[in-house]
Amino acid sequence: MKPKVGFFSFTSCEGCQLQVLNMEEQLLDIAGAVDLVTFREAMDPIDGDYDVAFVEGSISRESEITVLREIRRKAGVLVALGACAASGCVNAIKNRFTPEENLHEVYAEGARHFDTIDVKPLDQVVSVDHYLRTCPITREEFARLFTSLLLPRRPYDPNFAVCVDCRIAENVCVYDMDEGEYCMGPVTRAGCGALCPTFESSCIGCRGFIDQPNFASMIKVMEDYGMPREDAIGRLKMFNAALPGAEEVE
Amino acid sequence: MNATKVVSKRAFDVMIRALGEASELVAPVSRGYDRFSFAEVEDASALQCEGYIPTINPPKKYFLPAEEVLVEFSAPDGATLGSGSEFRADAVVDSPTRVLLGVRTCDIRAIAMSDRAYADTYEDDNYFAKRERATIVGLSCLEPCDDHAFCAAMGAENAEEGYDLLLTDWGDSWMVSVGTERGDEMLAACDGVGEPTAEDREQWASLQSDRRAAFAPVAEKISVEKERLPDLVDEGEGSSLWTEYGDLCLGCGRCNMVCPTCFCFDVEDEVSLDRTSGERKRRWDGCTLLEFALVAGDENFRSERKDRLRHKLYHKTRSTFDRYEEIFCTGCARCFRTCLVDIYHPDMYNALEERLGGDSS
Repeated sequence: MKPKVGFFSFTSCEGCQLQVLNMEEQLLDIAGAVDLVTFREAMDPIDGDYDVAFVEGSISRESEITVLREIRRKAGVLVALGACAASGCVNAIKNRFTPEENLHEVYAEGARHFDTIDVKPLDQVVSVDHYLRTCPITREEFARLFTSLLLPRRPYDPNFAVCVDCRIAENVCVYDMDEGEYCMGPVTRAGCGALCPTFESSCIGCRGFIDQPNFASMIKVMEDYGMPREDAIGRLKMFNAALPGAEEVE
Repeated sequence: MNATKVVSKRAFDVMIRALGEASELVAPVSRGYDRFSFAEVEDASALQCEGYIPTINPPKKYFLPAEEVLVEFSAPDGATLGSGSEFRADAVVDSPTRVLLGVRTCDIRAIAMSDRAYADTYEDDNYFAKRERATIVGLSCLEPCDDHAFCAAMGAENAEEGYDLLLTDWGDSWMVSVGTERGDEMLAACDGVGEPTAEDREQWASLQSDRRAAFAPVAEKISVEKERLPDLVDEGEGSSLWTEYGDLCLGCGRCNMVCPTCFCFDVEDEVSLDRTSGERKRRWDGCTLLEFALVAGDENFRSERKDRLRHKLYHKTRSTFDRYEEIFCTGCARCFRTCLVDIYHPDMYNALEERLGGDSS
């Protein structure tokens, strides 16, 4: 029997769902291997439970918590689909302000119609079995995880720094170029193939932190290359303000 | 010194170009920003890559590629791969013929070290298929390449073996040391190979004495003899030094990746989306990375950065010395040049020696 699979979406741009739909030449393989029960960007939902839930987006409203818990209850396996779900992503920048400030800033007079809470990645609300990182997810990683779930086997989810991928690509380090790039590769999880540094741009941390990140040394490196400390801290938190450990970045 | 000949650069280049018709020629190429990489070239002119400091990644990438397919596997017709399913597996051994031009003596020494590691216990087919089809044309350093190299402290500013030919710049010619029969054959294919004249020999002796003088300060970068390093790291196991450096270390693994003597890899399977086929790949791994010593049951033998950093130095000194009677470090200083927090092995050895000296007094 084919596994039933659902795609769900919370606070996000839905770009990660689109990345799945962008896998044009492989879509038939994906759709053929599973029974899709819901996929907001692609179809109307079908009632019932599911074996695998791919959940995109971060949690930023009370009502989303209730829905996410229901998804967790029905799903055998829950996958965080993309940076918003896995680490909070740029949505979490709003956590630096109070919910009231945010509501007023965004909705002004209409604020009374809305509620909002501090942004949380999924695993701060329910347990998450697997993570697809990056903003947006890469099609290659989706295919790899999807295949691992079908086989089934433990999915590949590197917990080492982007620097490893960058050395393997034998790039000139952007710090050696000294052209105003402040790369966070040393504290950011690899798996993207060091995409940004390969194109001579800094890693901005969209895949979240490796375990045991050395924030003090990372900030010192950025300072040594000329970035004010405050900006270096802001940079570390740009995608990762909601992650546990982010409060250590001071 | 091995048999030495003098050959004009022009004649040498003609011979290399001819070799290039049937093999891939690689040499250090500038990447800008004072950085270099081994890459494919057309002729021997690249041998004299100006201002060439050790390349970003060492030439080991030609024998142990950063990523390499070891096995291709597939399901029988009409079936898919899965737990307990039947499959067919075929070893994949890529073995291109290559000529490595302009390999510094530090890297020549490192290649000899990896050869020993990869021949140990089980000879590694994938490594030796490439290694045995590689020709190594070395290039002597007349002076230290920069202020960071500590090659002379590790005895790697010279190489007596491990090359087919070793070149020394001799104006319009190369002074060529021949290391192997293969090297002899290459020279036999060159026009106008001459014996060094009496004048050449005199100049050679003076060049060697200049070189010794130029490298003497480099040898001083480590305050102890290299033979002392294994015991030093052993005795310093409980030193506070590791905590200090562990606090500084980013744990990013760059030093492992660029090290010419690091030989560790991880193996991972990749299966196609339709689950009919897949590949088993190996990929460079490094002991400074968190999950390097992680085993089943979530036990991690080196769970802190300081443990991993200490292990790296321990393995380069004690472990390899006990196993191969050699310290697996050439002093090329790639680890320092790539390190964003300036961790320099000589500093650590010197500090350790100083502290241990203090403890015993």
